[in-house]
Amino acid sequence: MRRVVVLLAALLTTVALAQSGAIKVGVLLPFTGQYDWVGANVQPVAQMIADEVNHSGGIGGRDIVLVQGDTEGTVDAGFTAAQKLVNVDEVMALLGPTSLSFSGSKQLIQDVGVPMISPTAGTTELDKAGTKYFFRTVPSDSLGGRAIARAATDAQYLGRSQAFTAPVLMVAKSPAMVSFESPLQTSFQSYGTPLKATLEYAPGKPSYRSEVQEALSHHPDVIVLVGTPEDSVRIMQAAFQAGYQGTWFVTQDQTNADFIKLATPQLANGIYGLEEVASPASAARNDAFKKQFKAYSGKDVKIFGTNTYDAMNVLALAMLRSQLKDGQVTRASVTRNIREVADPGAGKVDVTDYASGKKALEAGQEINYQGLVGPIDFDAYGNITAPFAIRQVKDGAWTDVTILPASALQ
Amino acid sequence: MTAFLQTLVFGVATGAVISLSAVGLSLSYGVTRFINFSYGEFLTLGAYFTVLGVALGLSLPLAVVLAMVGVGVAGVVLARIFFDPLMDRGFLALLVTSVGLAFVLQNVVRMFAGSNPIRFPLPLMRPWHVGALFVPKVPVLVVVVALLAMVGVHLLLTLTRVGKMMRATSDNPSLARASGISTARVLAATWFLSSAIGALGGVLLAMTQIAVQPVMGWSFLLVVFAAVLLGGIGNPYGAMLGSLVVGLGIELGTTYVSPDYGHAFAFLILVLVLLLRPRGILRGAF
Amino acid sequence: MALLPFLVGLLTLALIYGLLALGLNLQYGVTGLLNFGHVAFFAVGAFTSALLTLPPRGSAAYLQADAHYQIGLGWPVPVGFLLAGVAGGLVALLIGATSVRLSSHYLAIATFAMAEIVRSVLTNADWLTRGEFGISNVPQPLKDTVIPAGVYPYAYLAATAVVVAVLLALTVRLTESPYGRALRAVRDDEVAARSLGKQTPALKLGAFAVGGALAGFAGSLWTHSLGVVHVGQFVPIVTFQVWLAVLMGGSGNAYGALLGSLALMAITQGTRFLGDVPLLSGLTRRNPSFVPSLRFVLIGLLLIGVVRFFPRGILPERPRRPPRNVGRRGSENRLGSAADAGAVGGGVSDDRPSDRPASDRPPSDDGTSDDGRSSEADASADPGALDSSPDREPR
Repeated sequence: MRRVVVLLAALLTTVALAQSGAIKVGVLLPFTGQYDWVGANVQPVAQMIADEVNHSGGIGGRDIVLVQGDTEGTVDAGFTAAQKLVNVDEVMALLGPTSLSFSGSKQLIQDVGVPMISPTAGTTELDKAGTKYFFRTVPSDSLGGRAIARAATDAQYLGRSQAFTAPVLMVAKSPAMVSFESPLQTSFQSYGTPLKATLEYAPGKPSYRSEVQEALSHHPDVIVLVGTPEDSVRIMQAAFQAGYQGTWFVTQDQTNADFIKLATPQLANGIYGLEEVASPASAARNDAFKKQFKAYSGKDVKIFGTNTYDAMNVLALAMLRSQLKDGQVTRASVTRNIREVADPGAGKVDVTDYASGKKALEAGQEINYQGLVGPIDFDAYGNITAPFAIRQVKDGAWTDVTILPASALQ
Repeated sequence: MTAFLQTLVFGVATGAVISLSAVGLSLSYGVTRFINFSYGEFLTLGAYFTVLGVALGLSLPLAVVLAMVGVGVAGVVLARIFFDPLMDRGFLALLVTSVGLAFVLQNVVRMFAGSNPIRFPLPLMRPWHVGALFVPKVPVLVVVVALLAMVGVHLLLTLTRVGKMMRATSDNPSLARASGISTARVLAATWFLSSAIGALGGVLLAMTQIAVQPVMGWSFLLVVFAAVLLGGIGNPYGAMLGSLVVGLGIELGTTYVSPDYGHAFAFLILVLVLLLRPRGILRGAF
Repeated sequence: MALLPFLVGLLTLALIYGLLALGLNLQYGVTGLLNFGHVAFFAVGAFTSALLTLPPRGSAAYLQADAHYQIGLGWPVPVGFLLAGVAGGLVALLIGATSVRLSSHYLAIATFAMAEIVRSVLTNADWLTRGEFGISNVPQPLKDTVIPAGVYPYAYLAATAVVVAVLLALTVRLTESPYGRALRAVRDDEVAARSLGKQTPALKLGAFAVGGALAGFAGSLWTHSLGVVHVGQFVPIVTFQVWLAVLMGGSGNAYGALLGSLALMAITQGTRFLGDVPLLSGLTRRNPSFVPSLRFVLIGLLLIGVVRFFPRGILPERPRRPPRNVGRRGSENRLGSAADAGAVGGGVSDDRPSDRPASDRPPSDDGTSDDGRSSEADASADPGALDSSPDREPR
C-alpha cells in the first residue's frame, strides 16, 4: 500500500514538474451526460490549434496544455469543474461553457477574473451578461432567429420564386434552444408573416408523432425547427411519415454533414439551414479548415468546430501578444489582449489564422483576427455579429444559396 | 375525429416501445425484488451491439438476435459479479449497486463508441394509408415484434419448466425453494431472459428514435418503471397493460393538454393510479 | 495552486448536500420512509428563497443586470431562508401524504414520479422560474458591501457551517427525543407502534415535513451560494446522490449523513484528477470523452465497492438502550425490542423486521426479502416472525 502511495506521489510530482512551464487552458464543457457530444466536438479542434502553437515555439517557449473540466450537463458539476480548473489547475483561460453550466460558474469566473470564450453558448441570456471576462464566438440566438425569419420571408434569400407564407415553429425546451423562440416570433411578425403556431416540445423523447400532428394541423409550408440533431431527425421523420410535403428551416447545429448522414439524404433533401459565415470569400478558408482538421484527426468537422477554431485562435493570439507586448501572460493581460487581437482598428493587419497572426505580431504589427464564423469583433458584452449563409441540402450535401449580410438584419 | 384516432394509434405505438422493456424489467423485478437502475443499460447495449453487428456486415435480424444473446449472457455475468453477493442484503444495497453499475455500463459504451449519436441502420419508409389515417411503418414493426415477443414470453412462462419455476419463485420464494426449485438456476434464467428482452427493447427504442446515444437507456428507464409499477410489480401482463396506459397517456397528454411535458404525463398517471390502487392495476407480485 | 479556495468551494457544496442528507436520513434512516423525491423539496426551497429575495422588477439592480424575471420581492435573505424551509416542508407534506396509502417500492417510485412532475411544472411555469433560461441575479448577502468578493467564499462557508451545525443539533435533539423514538418505532414495526397508540400516519407526515424543511433550507443555501437558480439543477441524479450520501455515511445516524456527503464529494471530485495522469492524455486525443467516461466508471465502481464492503456505512446508527421506564425484559415489550432491533440497524443493509403482524401476512413468506435482513437483528427483533426472513407486504 505504501509503495502505491509513493508511486502516486512520484507520478504526480513528475506531472507537475513537466507542466510547470505550461500555459493551461481549461475546456469547461460537458463530456458525459446528455450533452456529451459538445465537449467531444470542441476539444479536438482546440487541440489542433494548441499543437500548431506548440510546434511553432509555443508562447514565449511555453506550451499550451488543455485541461478538461467535465460539467456533466448539470449546474453543480459546472461549478465544481470550474473550481478545479480555476483554483487547482490555475488555468489561464477557459474555453466554454454551455448555457447551463454558465449558471454554475458565472460567479466564480467574475470574482476570480478568468477570461472565458464560449464557442457554443448562443443563449440570449448572455446578450448583456455584463462581465468583462466573457466572450463568445457564436452569435446570439437573437441574431440567428432574426436571420431565419428574414430569409424565410424573402424569396431572394431562398433562391426560390416565392417566400414562405405559413411558417410554424417547433422549438425544444432546453437551455440551449429556448432563446431562439422569442427572436423568431418577433422577427417573423415584424417581417410581415407571423408564425402560424409555436410549439415547444420536451427534448429527448424517442418520438414526436403527436407534436408533429399538432404542427401539421396548421398546414405549414415551412417548419422552423430548433433542436438537437437527434430530436430534429425524429421530428422530421415523424412528419415524413405523416405525409408532410413542406420543407424545413434548421439552425446552425444542423448545417453539417453529420446531420445529413443521421437524417439520410432522402429525408434532408431540400431543407434550408443557417450557418455563420465570415464573408462570401471565406468559403475557401472554411474548406481549408475542413481539410486541415480531417488530416489532423481523421474525422469531419462537427458542430461548433468553426466556432472553436476562432475561439482558440483568438485565445492563442491574445496570449502571444501578451507575451510580446506585456512580457508576461496573466489572466488580466490575456483578457485585455483578447480585444486587442480581435477588434478592428486603424493600421491593423487582417489575419485569419495563428501562423499569420504570429508573423505579424512578431514583426511589430497590430492584428485584427478575422474568423471563419465572422469578423470576430466583440461588442461591449463580448458578443459577435456575423453574416449568415443560407444553405440548402441538394444531392445529399449542404450547398450555399445566398449570404445574408448583417445589414439585412436591421 | 381523425386526429383523435391518430393520437390513439400513436399511443399504442409508444406503448409498444415501452412494453417489451417493461416486461423484461417486471420479470426480473418479480424474482429479484429490487429496483434495478442499471436495467436501462441493457437497452443501450442491445442497441449498440446491433449497430456494431450491422457495421460488421451482419443482416439486421441476425445482428439483433446475436445482440440479445450477448446482452443476455452479459446480464447473467454482471448479476453474478455484482448482485448475487448482495441478494440477502436488502433492496437498498442492490439499488445503490445498480446505480453504480449503470454509471459503469453507460460510460463504458461512451468510452468505446464515443458521444456522438449514431444512426440505427433502418431505412426510411413512407407510411401506409388506411382511409383517412396514416399508419407509419416503423411503429407497426415495433408493435408486431413486441407482440410476438410477448407471446413468446407468455409461452415460456406457462409451458416451459424454467418458466414455471420463475413464476413459482416470483409468487412464493420460500415455498418454491422448499419444493426443490434451485434459486440459483431461476436467478440465472431470469437474468438472461430479462436482459435479452431488454436488449430487444433497446432495439425497438433505437428503431423509434432513429439514433443511438450512450444515455438512451438511462433516459428511457423512468418511463419503463412507470409502466411496470402501474401494472403491478412482478406481473409481466400488468407490465404490458401498464405500457399501453403510459403510451396512451403520453400521446393524449401531448396532444390535448400540452406538448411541453413529454414523459411527465406518464408520471402523473402513475401517481394517480397508485393512489387509487396502491399495488398497481393488476396487483403486483408484491 | 489555490487549493484552499477549491476546497472551500467544495466543502460548502458538500455541507449543503449534507443538509439534504440530514433531511433524508430523518425520513428514511429514522422513520423508514423510502423517499425518492427529495430533490423536489430542494427545488422548492431554492426557488422560494430566490424569488423572495431577488430585486423587484423595475428596480435599479434589475435593470442594470438586464434581467427578465417576473417575480422578485426583494426581501432580506434570512427571511428567504426561513420561508424556503417552510415551503420545502409544505411540499413534502403534500408528497408525503401519499405515504399513507403507499409503502416500500411503490412509495419509492411514486415519490420519484412526483418529484419529476414538480420539476416539469417548475420548468413550464416560465413566469415564475424562467424555465430553461434560469435566473441569475440571486442576491448573495453582504457580498461587496460588507464582505469583499475575494473573501466571500470563506465567509459563506463559515455561515453555511454554522447553519448546518445548528440544524444538525436540532435534528439530533429531535431524534433523541420521545418523538424520535416514535419515529424509529414506525420504522421498525409500524403495526406494533400503532397498536401502542402511536398515530403512525401523522408521524410519517411529520418526518416527511421536517425532512422536507431541511431540504428547503439546503435549497436556500445553494441558490445564494451560486447566485443563480435554474430548474436544470433539480434532476433525479441529485436524489440519487443524496441517497448515496445517506447510505454511505450510515443511515439512522445524523452525523453519518454529513460524513456520507463528504465521502461522496471526495469520490466524485477526487476522480476529477484522473485526467492529470499523463498516460491518459494520448487517449483524450482520440476520444475526448474517454477520460471523463472512465472517471464515471471509476465512480460507479467505488460506489459499488463502498456498498459491498461497508454495509453499515461509515457511521452506523448508535446502539440505543431502551429507556429505563420500559419493561425490564426487552423482548416482551415490542416497542423496546424494536428499539433494540434498531440498534444494530442502519447502513446499507436495511434490517427492518416485518411491519405486519403474523396474521396479516400473506400465507407465503418471501425468501428474498426486498427489505433484506441482517442476521443479528431478526431473531431478537420480532419473536412473532415465522422465520428470519420477514416479508414486507405493501398495503
